[in-house]
Amino acid sequence: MYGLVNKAVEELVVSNFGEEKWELIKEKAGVTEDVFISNQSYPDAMTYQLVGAASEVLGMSAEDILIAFGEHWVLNTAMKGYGAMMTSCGSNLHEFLVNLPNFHTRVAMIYPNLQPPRFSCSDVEANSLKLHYFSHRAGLKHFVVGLVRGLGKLFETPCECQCLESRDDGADHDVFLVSW
Amino acid sequence: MSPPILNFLGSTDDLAKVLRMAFPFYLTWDDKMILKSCGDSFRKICPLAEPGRHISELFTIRRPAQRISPQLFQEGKDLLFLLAIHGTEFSFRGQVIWFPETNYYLMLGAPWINDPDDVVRVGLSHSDFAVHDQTMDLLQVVQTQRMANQDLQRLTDRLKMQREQMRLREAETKKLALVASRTASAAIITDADGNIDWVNDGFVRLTEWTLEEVRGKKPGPLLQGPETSLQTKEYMRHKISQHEGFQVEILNYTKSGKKYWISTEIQPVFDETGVLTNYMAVGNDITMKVMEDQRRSLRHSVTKILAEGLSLEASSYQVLQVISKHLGASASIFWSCLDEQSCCQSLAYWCSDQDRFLSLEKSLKNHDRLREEMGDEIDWLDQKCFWLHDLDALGKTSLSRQLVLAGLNSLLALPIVQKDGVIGSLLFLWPHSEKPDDLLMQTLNGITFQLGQYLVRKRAEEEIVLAKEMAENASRAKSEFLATISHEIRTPMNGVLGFANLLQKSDLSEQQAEFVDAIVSSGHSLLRVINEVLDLSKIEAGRMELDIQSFSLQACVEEALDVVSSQAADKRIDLAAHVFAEVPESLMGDAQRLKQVMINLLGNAVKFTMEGGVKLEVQAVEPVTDNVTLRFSVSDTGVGIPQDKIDQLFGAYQQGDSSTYRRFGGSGLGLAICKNLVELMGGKISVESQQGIGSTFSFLLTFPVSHEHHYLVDLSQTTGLTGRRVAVMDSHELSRHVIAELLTRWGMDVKTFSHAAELRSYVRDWTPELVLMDGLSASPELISCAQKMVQLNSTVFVMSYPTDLAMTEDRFAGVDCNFITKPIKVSVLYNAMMETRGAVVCARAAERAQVDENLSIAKPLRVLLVEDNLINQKLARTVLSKMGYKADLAVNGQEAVNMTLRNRYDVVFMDIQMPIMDGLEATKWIRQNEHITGSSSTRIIALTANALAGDAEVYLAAGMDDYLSKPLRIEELRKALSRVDQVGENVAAKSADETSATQNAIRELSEQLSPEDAVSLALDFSADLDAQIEAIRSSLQKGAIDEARRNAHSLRGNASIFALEDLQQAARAIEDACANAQHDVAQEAFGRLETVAKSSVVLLKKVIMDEGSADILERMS
Repeated sequence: MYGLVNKAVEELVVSNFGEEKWELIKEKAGVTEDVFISNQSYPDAMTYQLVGAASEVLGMSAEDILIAFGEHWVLNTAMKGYGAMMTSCGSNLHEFLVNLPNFHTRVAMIYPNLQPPRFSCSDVEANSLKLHYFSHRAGLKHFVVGLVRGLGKLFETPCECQCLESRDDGADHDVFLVSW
Repeated sequence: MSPPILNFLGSTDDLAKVLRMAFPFYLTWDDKMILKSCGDSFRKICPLAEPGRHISELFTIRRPAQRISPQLFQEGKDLLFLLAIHGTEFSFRGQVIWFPETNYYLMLGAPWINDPDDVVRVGLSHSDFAVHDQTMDLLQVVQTQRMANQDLQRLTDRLKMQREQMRLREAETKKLALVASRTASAAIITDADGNIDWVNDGFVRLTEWTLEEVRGKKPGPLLQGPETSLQTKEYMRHKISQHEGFQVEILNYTKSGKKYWISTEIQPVFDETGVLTNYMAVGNDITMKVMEDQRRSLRHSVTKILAEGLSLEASSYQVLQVISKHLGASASIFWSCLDEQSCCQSLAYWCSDQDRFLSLEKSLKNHDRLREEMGDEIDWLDQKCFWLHDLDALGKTSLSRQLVLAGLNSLLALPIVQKDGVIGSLLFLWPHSEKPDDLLMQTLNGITFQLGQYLVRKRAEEEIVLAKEMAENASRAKSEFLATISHEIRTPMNGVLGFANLLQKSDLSEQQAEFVDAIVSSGHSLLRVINEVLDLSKIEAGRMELDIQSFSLQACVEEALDVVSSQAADKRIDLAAHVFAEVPESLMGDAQRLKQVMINLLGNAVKFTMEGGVKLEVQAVEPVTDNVTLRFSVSDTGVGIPQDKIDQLFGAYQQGDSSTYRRFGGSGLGLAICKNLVELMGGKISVESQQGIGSTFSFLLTFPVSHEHHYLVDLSQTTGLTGRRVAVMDSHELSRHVIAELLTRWGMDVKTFSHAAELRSYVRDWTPELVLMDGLSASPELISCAQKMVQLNSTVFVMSYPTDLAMTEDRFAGVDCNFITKPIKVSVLYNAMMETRGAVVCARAAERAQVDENLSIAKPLRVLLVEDNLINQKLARTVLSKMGYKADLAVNGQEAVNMTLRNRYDVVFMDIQMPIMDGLEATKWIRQNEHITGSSSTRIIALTANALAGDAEVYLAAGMDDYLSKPLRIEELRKALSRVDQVGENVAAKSADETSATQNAIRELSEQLSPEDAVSLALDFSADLDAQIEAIRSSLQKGAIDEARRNAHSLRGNASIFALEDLQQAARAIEDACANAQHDVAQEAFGRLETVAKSSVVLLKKVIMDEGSADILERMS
């Protein structure tokens, strides 16, 4: 993953729990980097280890951390780094979700070594749609839930994100029903 | 492109729409530079873009830097134009295509945006750009790059910070290293296992070990030694095992074996992960401080031992032990040469190992041998310390050989020097030792000086103790001497005064009577002086004890007054006592000692008063509870005492002023005795005096209030006096006041007058029922006044001192008045008042002593006198005979015991100090015999000149019942006899019938014979009764039953003559027992006969007296 992700994890922990906890999490995860470079690629394992260590140090489940991380990603990391790109991607939740495939195409262009997930929308209704999430990475289902919730907050549209199908249950990909 | 194409762009054709979507920022203008059309997105960034406007109104060309002109656009088909849009901050970039045919211009471009945020600010969105347009994507790339740059900057900053921190740390480390290396403290760094990595120069200097020598070794075994505290080592081991830092003070050794004390702090060092990597130790040499502390501790220990008040030997040993242990010596000895330098005495010997060194004590204690064998070098008598490292060097004397053999080679001798020279010394011995350093030697010198002072002080204390013992022995000897001399003086005085008293009662010429009076007076004076000396010696010896009993304060006061009344009368001065109303009548205390104090003070007051009066006042100083605190004050109007003499007034053998007061006589002990007695009773005496005005001696005493009744006055009967008018006429103010106060207290209507004229003038309007007048002057005016008052029906009492009474009675012979003695006694005054009302009078406080010559009749007693001294024998027997008693005599205790075995005595007067067997021993024997025989207890009264306190207890403990002090006084003897419980006292309990039967028998005899014969017969019977009883006893003792029966029968017959029923019965009991040959019963009955015989005699004599036969008796005698 690019350093941007690990940096986002760092920001999430430091802003909510302080520098010492972050150092502890890093120590536990065996991560020695002082600073993550946003556009530098780091092993996925490092991110997983950071999330695992955070779960242990902060006494939270990995799921809760991923949800929180998803929200933080949208509301802080993405908005801070790519605010224009985000806001130019749609003026409301519906528009943004529909534009999500293009968004990730552009992200993939910017980060050539990135293996970004793929999104598609189906059953698009006025107040709901099905979001299909394709990723070669496992275990980030709850991160998507957090992302959707963060978008709901960003566009000030309270929403629900229900997992309809899951790779954990043997499905081809994860399918979420997003309703608002 | 032809103009139609351009027009097409603005059409609604689908393709046109596609082209507009592909170029949303296009714009066209004509040859006149008028905008013809533009894309929707361009319109967003250029709000002025309306067709028909000159393009110069819309923008300015920034690159190339030329003005808008057709030529520029026509020639610049390959140029990249950069436009500045008017009214915005944005630039626009693109190329301009000229269509010559139509002379139209088409510009295809896009806004030039550096910052992705500007897209939103301009109001553009993704939809404003063609999907193929890279602008937005590139902007994201830029943004990403910017973020990466920020990250790198952050990384750089952090690296810089870390580098700075490292630099600072390194600098600090360098400084620390410098400090560690150059400091005077010793520093060690070890690895985690405690092996030395590094030591600093300080360590090398202190320990003499180099880094090379110690690297890789453990510090403990290297530095510690035999005297290092095991406890400290264990503590260090424990702390290190716990990886804890600590600080210790420890004795270490240098490489060459020199001891030093170091205070070390040892800290474990951990790496960032908490793993122990090193130990660091920093230590400072504290040898000087520790030595000083030890020296101070030594000084303190020695001082403490010397201050503890131990014996000289105990403290010497302890001091020796403390110093020896401090010095690490193996043996030591302490000599004192206080008495004589050449003869030193060993006070203490100490050794560390008894098995090895105790045997040396004998040799070392021999100071002379030590001096001889060790030679002059060791002679510390020259006041210098002596140190010898190796005894072998001294030469091969036997003692040094003995010491060396015992392993002792080094020696230190310390002289104990005082101003008179060397008065002792200390000697210490070691196997091998270095000489104590100078500082320690200074301390030791200080200690030896201290020891010197101690030795001198101890010696002085011993001398003081010796002196005290001598003084105590002397004091004891003095007391014994006083007791002995008192006895020796009082015994002859007993004789002198006793016979003088008897002589006074015999017929004497006037001159002889005067001489005898002088003898009596002088004798009493001498006796008083002796008593005072004895009292003081008793008090000083702490042997004066109080006899606490219930007593009447008023009686005590009046008795005291009585003693000095005649002196007061002689000097014509007033004398009165005023006991305030609130003062309780009955108190618990030693009345005799209180009286003694009052008599003394009153006597002094009277002695030193020429005119005026002496007053004794007693009042309570606070409300009366269970206890009462009374102030006794004796005031006089005498000569007074100079102020500068007051302080020494109460000292023994002191008088106010020897020159002035010598003429008044006295032993000078009186006030000292008063002071001591008052203090003994828990009080304090004081005096206020003004020369020429008078003195007041006061003392405060607290007494428990007694619940026993000693009332002199029955206040319940004072109602008979209430309201009665009484005039008190006395020229003496004190007496007048005291009498008036008493009478007022009883409810009488009292008026006081100081002279007769005053009274006479007053009675015109107020006639008293009673008049009390002082008869001292007995002037015609006074007598006339008395007569006048009698005429007015007043009852007149004339007051007079006893010594003047006869004279006063003569003077007032013509007046129908009563006489009353001064000083006025409450009971006497009260009775006098009450008699005028015909009331029953109260008993007098103190009956006057009288010789009751018929006491033996009222109280017949068989008396044994045990006395070795001839004069005392004669005196006592004479006095007893005056009372009608014929006493048997024993001259020592042994005789007395024998006589009491033979005869039954009612009372035994027993002298104490006698040859062969003293009185106490005799008493014990008598009591023992009584116990064995079961006979009743004889009253034994001690006669003694030993009046020391505690003697009474000794006498009573020996079995005596009472004691009389010699010389015998008739009154005291009478009282003692009256206390004897003899069977005769049961006379009162005899039935009236028996008494009347005996009376009838006497009367019948008188009628039959004559009264004289009847009495004579009765007396003969009485006189013969003992003989008859003795005959019965004798018969019974020798077992002559018939003889006893006959004698008893004879007695019974005689008894019947006088109707002595009890005696008859007792005799009959013996008669019957003998008739029945019951010897034991007869013996038992004999005991009763003896008892009854006595009471019968008493009864018979009483009847004779009652029958008015006294005159017959007198004639018969």
